[in-house]
Amino acid sequence: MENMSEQAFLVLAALADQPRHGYALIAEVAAESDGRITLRASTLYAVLDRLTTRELIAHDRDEVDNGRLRRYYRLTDAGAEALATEADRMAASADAARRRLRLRAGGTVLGGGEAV
Amino acid sequence: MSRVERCYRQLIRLLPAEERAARGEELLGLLLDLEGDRHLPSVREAAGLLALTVRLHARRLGIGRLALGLFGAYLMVVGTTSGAQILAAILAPGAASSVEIFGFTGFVVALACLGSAAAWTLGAYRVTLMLFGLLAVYDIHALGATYLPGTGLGFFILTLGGIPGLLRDAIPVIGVPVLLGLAVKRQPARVPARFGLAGLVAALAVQTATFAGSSPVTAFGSEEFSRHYAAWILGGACAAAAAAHSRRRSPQVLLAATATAFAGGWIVSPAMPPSYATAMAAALCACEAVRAISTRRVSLRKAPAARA
Repeated sequence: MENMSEQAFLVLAALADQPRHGYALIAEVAAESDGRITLRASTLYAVLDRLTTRELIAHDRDEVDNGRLRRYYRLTDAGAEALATEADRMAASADAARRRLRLRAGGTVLGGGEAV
Repeated sequence: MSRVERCYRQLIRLLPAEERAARGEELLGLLLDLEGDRHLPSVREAAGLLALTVRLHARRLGIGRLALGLFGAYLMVVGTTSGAQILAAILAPGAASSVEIFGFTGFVVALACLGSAAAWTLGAYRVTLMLFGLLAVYDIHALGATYLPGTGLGFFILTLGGIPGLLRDAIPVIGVPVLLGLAVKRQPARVPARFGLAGLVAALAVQTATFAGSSPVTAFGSEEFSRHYAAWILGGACAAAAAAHSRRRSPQVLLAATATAFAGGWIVSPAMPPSYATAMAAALCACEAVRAISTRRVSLRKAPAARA
């Protein structure tokens, strides 16, 4: 999945362990982002629509709870692969940044890509 | 039925029928879960739902891609014309074009036009929006100048020709930003900008040569004006085609854009030079039609394999 948005990444991560419905996904995304990202219903709708179109998630089941329809989504194999790929990419970027910061903390000034 | 549920059901009724049938109840359940014990819908959720409604209707009607195409054409034509006028004024200050740059304000506006066209070609949509916001502000000023006399200069480089008065001046201010809100994606696909930039530079060169080579007085309908006008159209057509091709990467799109723009611009009356912007819009419509036809053919070929 090219240029996965942070919202899509967090939704996929929230579905990694078990199927969830929309309200649970919003709560999980908020928890994963330490409250930084609180999705609106319309935003989640659009994200789920895109992910379903790209076959990264799929409809799992419907339940009616207190007169309200709750649609559960699950992560597909393709979605798990895309999530893993994106997680690896982000981890590699984070590691590169940490290496640079350690050099900086050691008092070395970087210039032209050379490390002293 | 609670009041908040009643309100949301009314809002969800605005969704396209297909979406409403497929996911309306799911969306309603989610909204009610989020609202908890509230008696009225929150402004945040209601506004989001309305925006979603607009986007879904636009997607269903295919407005998004078309709006992108039209906006791209508009920017490319206005951008290359403005840039050419700047270059012509620098390279050949003695020559005059039929549309002149009025002082420092006009120079800034012309630069903003050229900058927005370049930003669009490079896929820098936020920069495009920022510059276009500047142009829209200026156009509001031009509207005031034209229809509220005494407020300043009127400057028609930003307007579409062939459309009467207030509607012509209002289109960029009102219509295009609204369409942009529907059409611009948050993360545009990354396509090489080389071809688009090459087209932009080529169009700039052609139109600069045209402006720089104009005699001080060029009569409408004269043979000389027709040659210059043809060069304008061809330059704008190349720019629009290159912008389209840099995104679509299809020879059919390139040919459709160039041919349609050139023919359209030639047919439209030469007495209204900005009307080539309309021709560019026709070119981009042709691009979208070709792309839609090509996509449908490809999807039909793939269908049997998918079913297997």
